[in-house]
Amino acid sequence: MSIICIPTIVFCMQGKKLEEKRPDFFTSRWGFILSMMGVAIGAGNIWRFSRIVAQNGGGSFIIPWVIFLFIWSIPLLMAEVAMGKLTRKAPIGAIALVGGKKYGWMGAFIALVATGILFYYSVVVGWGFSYFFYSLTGKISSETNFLTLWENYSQSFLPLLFHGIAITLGACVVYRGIAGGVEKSNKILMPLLFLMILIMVLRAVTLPHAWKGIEYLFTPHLSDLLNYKVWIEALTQNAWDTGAGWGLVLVYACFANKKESVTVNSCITAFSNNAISLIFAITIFSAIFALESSTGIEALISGEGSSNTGLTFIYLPKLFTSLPGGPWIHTSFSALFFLSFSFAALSSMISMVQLTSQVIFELGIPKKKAILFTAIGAFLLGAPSALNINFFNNQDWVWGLGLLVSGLFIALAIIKYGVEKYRKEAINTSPHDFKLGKFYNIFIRFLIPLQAIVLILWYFYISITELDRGTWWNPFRTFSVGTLLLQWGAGLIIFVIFNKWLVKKSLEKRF
Amino acid sequence: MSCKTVLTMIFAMGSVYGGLLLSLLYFFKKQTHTSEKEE
Repeated sequence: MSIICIPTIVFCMQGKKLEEKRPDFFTSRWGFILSMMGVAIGAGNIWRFSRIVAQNGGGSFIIPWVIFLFIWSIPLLMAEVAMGKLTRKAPIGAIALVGGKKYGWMGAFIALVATGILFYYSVVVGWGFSYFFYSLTGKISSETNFLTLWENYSQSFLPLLFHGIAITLGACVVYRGIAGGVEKSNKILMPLLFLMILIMVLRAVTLPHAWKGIEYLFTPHLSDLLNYKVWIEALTQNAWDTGAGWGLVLVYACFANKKESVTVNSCITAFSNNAISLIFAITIFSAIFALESSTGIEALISGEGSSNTGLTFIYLPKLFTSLPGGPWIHTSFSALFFLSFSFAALSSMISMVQLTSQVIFELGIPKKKAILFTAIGAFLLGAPSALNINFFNNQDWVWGLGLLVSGLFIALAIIKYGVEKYRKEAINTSPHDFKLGKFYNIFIRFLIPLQAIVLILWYFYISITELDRGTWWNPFRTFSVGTLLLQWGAGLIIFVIFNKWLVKKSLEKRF
Repeated sequence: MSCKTVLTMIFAMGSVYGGLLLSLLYFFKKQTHTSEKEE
């Protein structure tokens, strides 16, 4: 444990010395871009993408997935970066300034969703760290029963301990400020992540029969392409794994240089996010087919691989320890995988801590106290998710879907401001950018709201007809519409009641 | 590999990696241009 704790304490202490010397802004364009990539590239690229690709017909899924990158992720990321640069405010103040003071509650909801995700996301970071240590200590070997290992682990106090370590790490990074903490950590985490992914993919594609996996990944089937569910899953994947509409990029953009580009940075972020997803999928499918196991894909689609946790912590370690090359290859492959998983998730988690503490700060609490409150709150409110997988799944369901509402709220605020005016005054302003044409207005005015509404209604339908048939109205069920409406509703009612106070406080604070 | 596999690969890889490459080229071109101007 000291491997993590000692550098963390030293890191925080150095932060105090640096604090007065540096202005709290991103110091380089590259640092800002890497930090934006850190937001986008997260657990979703690794533990969700490959499973969803397998469940939706391989290449048939890839085609709509690329299309939705252009009509959901990129336009929304541009909208967020522009909003952060224009307003220099966290979501409450930003939405109030763009959409009008009456709508500050929408910004508060965006912040609530990102905070709700933070509570359980640090648990995920902790899982990654735990399995990285398991790999190093030889617990992940060809003789391990991974189902038992996961069950024993998830029922122990270890997830809580590692959740605490993860949230402490995230808070320490944010405590050091934007330049000394967020930017610096992403400048380390992201290149290391890219290097590890490169090593893994090179090893995977040079395995015998790896090309069969790549062929599977890119072969479309007309029947799947005509299936509307494949298109809905492709949109969902883009909505969840690029970080578009979360408000996180918005908060980072508050600290960006005035001349920082909107369009180029958003494109680099979105493309690199999807590029990483593709590389991970190539790695996983190559490894599956290298084993010449006809059950590989089936395991990914159903049974052990039916959930994100099942795929990542039960099926993949089993896959890695079956690869040709002996124990050394098994250990290094699984260690690299879980370390890159942890880094990807940690870089996203840092942005969530930044968002929550920035919102609290803008409501009038001093910055350091705001970070402390965020860390303590996230630890306490994330503890149930660390100790109970059903609670974790419930929070993932409620706040994961909340992201679609967040994206919708961002688009609505811009519509209220005037899309054409926003494009001219907020987006096409940087000398480093390529200028967006009028076609962008169609995305914000029609396509984003339409996609968000379709997805929200779709998941309501899924809950009513499949996930929680018969008891969908019950607020105490894991995947019910009832629990979703209760938790969203409670937040929304409070924010609407206190809208005036929230907006007043958020707008009067300057950083 | 069949024709449709190759075409899908070109479409997906071309869009994602091509888009990333073009964005990065634009980023570096503008950065160099701005630094020259500042000098």
